[in-house]
Amino acid sequence: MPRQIWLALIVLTLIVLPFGLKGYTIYILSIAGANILAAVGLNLLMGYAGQVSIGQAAFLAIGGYTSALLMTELGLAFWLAFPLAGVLTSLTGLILFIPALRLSAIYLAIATLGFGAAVQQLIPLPYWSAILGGHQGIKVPRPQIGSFVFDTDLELYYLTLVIVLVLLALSWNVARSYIGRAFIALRDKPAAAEALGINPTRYKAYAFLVSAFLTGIAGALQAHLVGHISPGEFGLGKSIEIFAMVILGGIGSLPGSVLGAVFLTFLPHWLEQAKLLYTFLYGAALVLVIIFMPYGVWGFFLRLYYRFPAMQKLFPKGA
Amino acid sequence: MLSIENLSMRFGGLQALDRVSFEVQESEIVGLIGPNGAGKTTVFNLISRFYEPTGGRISFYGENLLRLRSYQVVERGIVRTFQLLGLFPYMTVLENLMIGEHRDFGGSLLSVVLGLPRARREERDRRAQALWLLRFLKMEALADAFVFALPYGTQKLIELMRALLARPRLLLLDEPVAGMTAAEKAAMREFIRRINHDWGITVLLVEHDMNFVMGLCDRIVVLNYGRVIAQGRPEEIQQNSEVIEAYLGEGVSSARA
Repeated sequence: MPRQIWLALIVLTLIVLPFGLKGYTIYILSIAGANILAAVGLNLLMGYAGQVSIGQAAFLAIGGYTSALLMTELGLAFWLAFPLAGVLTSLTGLILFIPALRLSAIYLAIATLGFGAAVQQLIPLPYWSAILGGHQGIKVPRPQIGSFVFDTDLELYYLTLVIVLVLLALSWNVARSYIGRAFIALRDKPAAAEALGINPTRYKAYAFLVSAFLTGIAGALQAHLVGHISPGEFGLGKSIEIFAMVILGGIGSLPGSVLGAVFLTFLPHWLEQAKLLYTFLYGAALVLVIIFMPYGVWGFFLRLYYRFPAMQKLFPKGA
Repeated sequence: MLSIENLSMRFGGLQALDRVSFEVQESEIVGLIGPNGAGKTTVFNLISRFYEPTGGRISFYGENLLRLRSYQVVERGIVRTFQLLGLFPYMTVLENLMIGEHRDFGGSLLSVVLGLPRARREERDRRAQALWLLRFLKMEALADAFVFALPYGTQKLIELMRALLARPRLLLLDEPVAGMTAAEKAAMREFIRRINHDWGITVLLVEHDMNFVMGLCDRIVVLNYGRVIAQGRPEEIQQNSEVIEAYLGEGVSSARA
């Protein structure tokens, strides 16, 4: 079947999916949508451009607070505040781009770690607690377009679905373009890439811009879904969670990041019964995937695909 | 077109190049030879602007190349290949070739993100161009193959095709036939001749295979311990006593050929 039909089927499934699901499950699905954007944002940066970041939670926080404050403090409409939050977060991505010009992978990781910690520590400071709400955080208004307020889990789900699908399409545009190829080229063989005219400074800047934009949007989306935002949500744990989604799904593969994000969003809820064992099972799942699926869940599917001709008939190449 | 004057390069205590001078004229095929460690690849890396020379000048059509950053060299029409393959292993053949066309892409980040018509058209046109070259060499079946899975000789050829898509005026080839079979070498020699003769591309190449170099090059520059010890036509080089002593006389060529 051609790719268009598969895409149409997937979208159709996502449209009818919430019927028969509990409100809470629908809500978690929406949260998974926000996580998908964060994972794809990190994957473009880390999997494609080879720039390791374990400070992505900072961009989530910046996006979330920005969208909320643009609405509450400046009175902007949601449809304006929300994308603007992405754009502003994207510019803060350039803060990390500067050390990235000088540092190689593992040192950059430490720098991003510091960035994440700094942002989380700055938010609750008393100087601006009148606006940012200190440790308690602030209420985030519901999304509203015209006079329509997205209030129920179902309405928020459909809003999330549209946002995620649009941004996935845009991310795919980047990944499949000359810019995406330049990312990979600089990651794998920087000397050869430069000799063919790829300017490393420019493409590192692009990678951080795109990644911070997607992550900022993810943060804004999550804030509007939850209805509240506070600095406690954006610790190192959150950055590592996004990191794990990318690794689990398959580094360098966008469909993989989607799977990784959905899986790791639901895993805590599946493991809820095993409260005490939760952290252990979570860790064990990661270790098992890394051992048995070194290229992530998506890479595992691809290998099955090439091993079993029946699958190749069902999903022709390029699908 | 390319002029190298008194080029010196020192790595710590090692004088890799010592006042090297030579020229490459338009539409020539020039061979740069010498024993291992003579400094041949260092010359390439200096032209590519990977290193800053400790002395001397490199100019291309009168322009000082040392003013450029390495990613700007290709814009002037100098394109190189690498000794140990500069292909991107996790890309398909077609994607690798399209990296060769990188400087022909001009769509802004925004036009790419939004998938605007200009960005789409550019992508389509470049893809068509790369496919045309594949078809021209009867290799279109390989378009979607991953590079790492291909035989070495094929990879070498694809790297050369990628360099051609970057529209070179001067092509720098670092050991274009290393590790190839005799038949592959003969095909490569024919291909380089055609590139030079039919497409008017000047070639400067480093190669250890003496038969290959002598049979292909118009002129040869011999390096030994970072110095130019001889340059001239292949017949002259073969009879030059200093070259024979420094290089051919040691049996290096017969051992390596």
